[in-house]
Amino acid sequence: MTLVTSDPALDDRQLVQRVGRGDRAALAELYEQHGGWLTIRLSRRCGDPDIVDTALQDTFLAVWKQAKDYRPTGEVGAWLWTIAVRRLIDQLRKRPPPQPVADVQPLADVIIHEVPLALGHTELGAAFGSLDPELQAVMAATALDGLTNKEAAALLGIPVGTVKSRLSRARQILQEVLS
Amino acid sequence: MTSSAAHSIETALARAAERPRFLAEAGADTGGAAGADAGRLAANFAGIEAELDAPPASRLARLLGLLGVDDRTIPLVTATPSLRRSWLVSIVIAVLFAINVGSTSSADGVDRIVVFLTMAPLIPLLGMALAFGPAVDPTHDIAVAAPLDGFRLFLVRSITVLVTSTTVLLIGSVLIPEGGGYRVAWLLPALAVTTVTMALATRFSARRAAAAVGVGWLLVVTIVAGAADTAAAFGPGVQITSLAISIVGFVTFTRRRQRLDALSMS
Repeated sequence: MTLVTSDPALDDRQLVQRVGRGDRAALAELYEQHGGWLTIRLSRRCGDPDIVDTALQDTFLAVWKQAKDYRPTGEVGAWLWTIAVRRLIDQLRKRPPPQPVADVQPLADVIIHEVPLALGHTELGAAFGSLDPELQAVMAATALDGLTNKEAAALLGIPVGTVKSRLSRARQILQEVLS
Repeated sequence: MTSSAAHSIETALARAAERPRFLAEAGADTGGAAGADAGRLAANFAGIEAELDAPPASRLARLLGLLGVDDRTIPLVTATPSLRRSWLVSIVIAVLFAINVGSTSSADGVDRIVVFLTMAPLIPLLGMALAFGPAVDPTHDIAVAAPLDGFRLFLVRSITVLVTSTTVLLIGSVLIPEGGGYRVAWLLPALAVTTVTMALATRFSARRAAAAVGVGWLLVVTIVAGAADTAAAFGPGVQITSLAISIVGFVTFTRRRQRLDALSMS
């Protein structure tokens, strides 16, 4: 049975704190709440369902271990996502997909589904849309997923230097478009 | 003039990143195909629970994980019978014994080094004999039945035996006060007898191979040491020969790898 509280965010934090005290039922509920969207979002970064499933399981195993150190500052969802995307990168490092992720559907999904939602139909959104998909991908990976250049390189399957040069090219184009 | 254009996009993205769930669910119009169906979610949670219920990894397994050994190899190493504490204790005692016997049988300590050098290569051989076979291996039945690469299993276990034996023997070498460089003159002979055992194990059982090579080694030492003095018995000639034999042994082993399917490992 779930306590119905007015603030779902508060509910989430209490769940994580209970997980931190070793409450397996709380972990199950946290999974119930967040497992679905994490799977959806991870699938947009990686086309291999096996890797996504492993990353998802690793995420909740990490949550089980780290929950007692969790500081209730931001959204629980954001905390979960930072863990999940790094577990995904760990998996990609262990068994890189045969072709770079950037070449396949998943990252196009990020650009189609998430970036417009994040930026809206604004001047910013239009400017972002004018970038090449590969430039959009590095910006989404670094800004939207909060990854370091090195992590973004692992996720996209490209060298770190390429991430840096694409980022600076993207910034340059955006400055021109928006000025 | 808007040098902050890119920056404002990044800020907007980062602000949105604080609501990852919204981004996922609001954009999930592709339906269940890319997303998560109930069966998949349940299977993943079952995987999580299984992992949580699994017995905690042993200290050795965690150490191997830290050293970068991959998850599928770790159980092969930790399940090696000769890694068991009893075996480790017995080789430590054997090494101490060898050091001690030598010191009481001779005043100048030359014999001690000979005893140690003669015995040292037998330790990994013993480990090899104890690493394989139904009599000593509780995982033998599983190993035979599992669709595992027999060659890989054999290689992983042999390396495990060699590394543990060598570590104990190296500590033993340090404990011997005299002998200089000769204290580690057992290294290449030990490698040679181990690789020859590995090569022979592609034809005979590991235990028989180890026994035969052990007897052979004792014969060689007796003949060489009888013909020359201690220095010559473990001198450069023997070292180079040992290295050559190691290479030949290992090449033979890898060439005959297909014979090492699980069924031949009795």
